[in-house]
Amino acid sequence: MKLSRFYLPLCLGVLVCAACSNGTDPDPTTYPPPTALELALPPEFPDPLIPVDNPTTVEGVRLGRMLFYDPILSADSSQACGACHIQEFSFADSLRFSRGVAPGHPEGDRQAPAIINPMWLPAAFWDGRQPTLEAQAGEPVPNPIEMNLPWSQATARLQRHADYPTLFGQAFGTDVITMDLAVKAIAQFERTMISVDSKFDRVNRGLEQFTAEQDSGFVQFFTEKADCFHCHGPKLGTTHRFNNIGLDSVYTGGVDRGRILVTGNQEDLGKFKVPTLRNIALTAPYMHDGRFNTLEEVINHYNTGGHDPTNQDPLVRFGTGLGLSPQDVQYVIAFLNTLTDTAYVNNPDLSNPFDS
Amino acid sequence: MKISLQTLFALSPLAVLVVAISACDEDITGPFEGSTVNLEISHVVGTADLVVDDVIRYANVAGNNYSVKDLRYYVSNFTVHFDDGSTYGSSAAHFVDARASRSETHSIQLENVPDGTVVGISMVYGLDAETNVDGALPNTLDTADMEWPPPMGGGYHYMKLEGRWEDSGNPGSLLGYTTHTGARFMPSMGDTYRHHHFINVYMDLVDTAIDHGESPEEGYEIRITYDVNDWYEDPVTYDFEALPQQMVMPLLDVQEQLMVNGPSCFSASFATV
Repeated sequence: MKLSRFYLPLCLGVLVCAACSNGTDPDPTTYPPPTALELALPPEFPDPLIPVDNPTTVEGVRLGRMLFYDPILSADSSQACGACHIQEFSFADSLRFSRGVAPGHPEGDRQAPAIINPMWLPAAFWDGRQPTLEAQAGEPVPNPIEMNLPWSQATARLQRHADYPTLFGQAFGTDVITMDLAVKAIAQFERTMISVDSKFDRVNRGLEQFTAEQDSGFVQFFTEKADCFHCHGPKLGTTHRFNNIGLDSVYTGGVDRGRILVTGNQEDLGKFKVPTLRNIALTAPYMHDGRFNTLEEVINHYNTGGHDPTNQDPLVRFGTGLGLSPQDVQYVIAFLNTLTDTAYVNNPDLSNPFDS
Repeated sequence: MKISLQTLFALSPLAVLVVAISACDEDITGPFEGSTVNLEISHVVGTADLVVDDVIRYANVAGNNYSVKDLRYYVSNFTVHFDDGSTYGSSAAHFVDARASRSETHSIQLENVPDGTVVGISMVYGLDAETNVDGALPNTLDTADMEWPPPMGGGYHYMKLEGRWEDSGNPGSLLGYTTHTGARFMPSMGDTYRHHHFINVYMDLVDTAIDHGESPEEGYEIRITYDVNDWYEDPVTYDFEALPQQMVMPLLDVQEQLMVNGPSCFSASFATV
């Protein structure tokens, strides 16, 4: 299989280049401008989504990494973003529903999604209700079933902290801490979460070869036999579209109604964002509600054709399913395992800085 | 929907190649301050405007009731034809997403069109053999999933038309259809051999003079009407109950049958705006 033409050799070294403005009217007499951080992006990926008012900087990423892992942003100072988005699990949670910090530790209502290549994410959350990483980062802190701390209190804590005012000053030119700046820093850190070093990537670069089982799974994945590729393409592993894949046919009794809760459009009933399959072997349980514990269960869902809601996606073949044999399923799983990027989940630049 | 077309010559890949080359011979040569011609594509199903959603709204000639959940495609090589036999065009490829929210993608501009009497416009529905290869088109978030997968030869889908249809043998049951079109990889012909599929479309226009000295401020407009129903009729009736509705990407006979029907999907008219 000649695939090297699809993936050029990648260099993930970080290049530090000239200073840039972040649009927050920094006071140069107090803080020098932050240093632009230019990430060596995978050339085969589309252009990333970086807001013009929040360029990625060395200082912003450093600050964002601290905020991502600092439990100071939760009501009882026990839980950080990284508590539910765990690097070992590709920044997902191994629990079906994460638990918050409020008394009784209430469960969330959706599975904490993995964070992989979020720089290409056009909409955040399973229902796509936020258009940017910055907007997404604003939600969990005050959410009563998550970190449960109003942003006014969170920023007051940060303002009183011995180090954070200076870190904000270095990142944004001002030590007056606001929610806007805090979420910008977290988003900057998240934009450094780039994963393109799985075995699949290395095969595409001609550096490794699939086993026979992996190759069989690869062919099934990327043809209409298993037909995974239409929603989980070869680069980002997702179309980022919203589909109803037929997990449910009745939406009563507390069944999650999905994107319709955001748009109010009946067509969006039961639709959720297509997740990336990169690192999928690390991110169990699966689906928006974590209903499947194994990849075999996931594939068997598609293999049986879904439960036929009126807006089931045409690619989920109600009535016929995929027709995969048990052996075929194992081949596909063998291929899915090649999407695991162990360098990503061990990248020290993405790890908890308070552990070192 | 019956329309006047001069298109069936497009069915042979060799003929397609010849036409593409001859069109290029008289293509754009250097800057010329001519007129702007705006190409506006509207989508219909029979007599109804296309609504891209999950509702069963339409019926094809075979009697299949169906919805259109998705219609995305490439068009390229727009060429204006003049009464003296000359042509003027652009080989650029354009991605169109028919969802209403993406309506800005339905407008394509031809710049610097020279003066003359226009008698028709042609285009390639899809991508020619030179363009339908990996990496030939910009890789954007909107178009990333138009790729034709590596084990099937690579390149791009030239169309994704998807929805659901009512199975008359099982009332109340909706089945999916995925009319996905593109090149057919034929490993038996060699590791890189691909049987290319795309459609040359020629649309007659009532003779209209273009004069950049007198052109209106906004230029000229050619309105192209795209009738989705014609994929499944004229000349070949495509019945979902009898023919494959899913997994058609590797089916050479289905791909070629759709190519036969494709040209009749399009008609055009000229408007001065």
